[in-house]
Amino acid sequence: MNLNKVSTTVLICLPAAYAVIKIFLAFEQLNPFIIMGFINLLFLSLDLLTQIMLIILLTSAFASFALMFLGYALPLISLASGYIISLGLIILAGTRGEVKPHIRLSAYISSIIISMLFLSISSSALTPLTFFMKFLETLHNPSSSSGGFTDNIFILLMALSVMGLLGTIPPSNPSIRSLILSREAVIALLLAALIVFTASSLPRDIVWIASIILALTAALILLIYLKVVR
Amino acid sequence: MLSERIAYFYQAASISFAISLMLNLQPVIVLSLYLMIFTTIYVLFASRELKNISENLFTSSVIVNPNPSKTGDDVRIRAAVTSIKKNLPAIIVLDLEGLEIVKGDRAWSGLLGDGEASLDLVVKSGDPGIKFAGPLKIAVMDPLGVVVKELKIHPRIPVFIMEAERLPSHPSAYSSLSYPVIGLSKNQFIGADHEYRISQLQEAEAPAKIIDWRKTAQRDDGRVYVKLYDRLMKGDIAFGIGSGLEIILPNGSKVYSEIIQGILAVALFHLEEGARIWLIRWVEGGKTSTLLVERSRAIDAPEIPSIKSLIHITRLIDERELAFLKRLSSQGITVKLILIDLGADLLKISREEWVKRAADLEMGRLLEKVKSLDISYAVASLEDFGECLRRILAYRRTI
Repeated sequence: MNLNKVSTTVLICLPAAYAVIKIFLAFEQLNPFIIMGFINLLFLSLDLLTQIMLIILLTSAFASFALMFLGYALPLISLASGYIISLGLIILAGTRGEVKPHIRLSAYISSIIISMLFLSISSSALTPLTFFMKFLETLHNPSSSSGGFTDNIFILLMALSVMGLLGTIPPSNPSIRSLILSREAVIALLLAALIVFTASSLPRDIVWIASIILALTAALILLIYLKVVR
Repeated sequence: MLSERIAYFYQAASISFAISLMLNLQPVIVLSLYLMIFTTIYVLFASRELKNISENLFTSSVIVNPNPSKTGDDVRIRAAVTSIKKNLPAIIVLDLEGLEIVKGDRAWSGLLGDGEASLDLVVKSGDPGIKFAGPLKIAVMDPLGVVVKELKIHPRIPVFIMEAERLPSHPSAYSSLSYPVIGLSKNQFIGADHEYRISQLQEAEAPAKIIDWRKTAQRDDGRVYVKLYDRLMKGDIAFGIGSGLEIILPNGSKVYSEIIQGILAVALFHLEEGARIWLIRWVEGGKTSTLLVERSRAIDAPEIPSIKSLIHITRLIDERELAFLKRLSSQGITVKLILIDLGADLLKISREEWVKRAADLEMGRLLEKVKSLDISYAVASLEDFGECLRRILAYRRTI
């Protein structure tokens, strides 16, 4: 993987990485099974130390199952928590070699949604068991946790990661450089930011209608313009 | 238009916008909306640059060698494109019809720069007939590959594939014979534009361009000799391929393929001399498809051209074909029918009584059908079809 691809992937992963750090910090006590579960899957998805990771994965899985049958369920729950925490990053790591931007976008949005769930969970102190319960609870009712979402660092990292995401658009050599070097792209980036910022600063009761109107107008303009150009 | 990648990207952004709106995921709503608006604005700006891109900016060539070729033999195709405008992101694709790639890739992508972009392919076909290389298409993109403009920069080229024993030898010299010989310049339909015939005395003042200076100098009789030329026609030859030919005989011969090869064996000489061949094919549903074949390109024609004569090869299976032929005759087109009598070919495979009866019935059917048309015709077996066609074309005779 060349430097351009690495830089775009790192940028795209920033929000998910931030959510993972937040969730780790929210744990009252981190046990080895959580870390093992997290590192195992992440390294496997990155194709790093594959043989060793497979051995650790199988050993930890068998050990936690054995402990569960002996009456200790916590290791298994911890291991599962570790797997779940790595989910947002795994999705992005798994699609790092993908050249189709829509697949990268879908993976990115899935990762953002998972990260948002994590951030809403991380607001209170966690144990492996409470993490599991809260995660299931937010999965069941996601809108209650994300409705008033305000984590400015996460939003800032998201804005940075969008640059990385748009950097995957050029077909021949995906990089942020080609995005920044294109005059048209820079104008479009700034104009789009201005429009979205203006729309989001509207009063709460009309921001929804405004965003729907904006989305429909964008799609309509694109359709009509391309028809005329053709 | 939007590139396929970005169309999907836009689709994914729209879907995530709709879903996040339903689930009230505010950051995702903002993100999807941003991506949609960015794409729209970028398309508006980037497509302005592409408006000036036209076919005239590109020089292209497609070389097929050998052409005609034998079934199963390797045919090398080289397509090259150069652009006046530099650093243009582009994808070049060569379409292939009826040809199988043995080696190479039919697509090229990258920046069109100082040098030429080329596609080198080796193809082959196991089926005889007219196959096609091309059209050569170019998709020019903006630097991010969001907007694409597709252009056809080279027409499709016919690739003539024939069975080894049918491949005609190449004419090497013009004929000096006084009677028409197929494919050579004295042919009554076909020939070079101006063929030198004779020099003779010019009574009046002759333009310097046509004076035969050598002869005038040699004779030294004070008279001026001028060169006279025959203006021979590069005619259009039209072949109709009618109904009932899409069958396979018990010995495995494909009738349609044999007919096409028979036509090619005659037509290739004409193509060499610059003639144009119209192939008007009767298709199911009572319609026709017309193809104009030249030496270096093939064009689908929307309708039957204004031709003077047509050699129509058929078995008259479709009733609507009779009305079609009558209509052509009434339009002043001289139609000559070659009726393919498969009964004769079947008798060569088997001489059983029922085959004889079937052959008689087939001949009777053909004659009965053709009688209802006031059109001159020839009846030929598949084996004799080539010779029949050659004679009709050369001597304008009905065999």
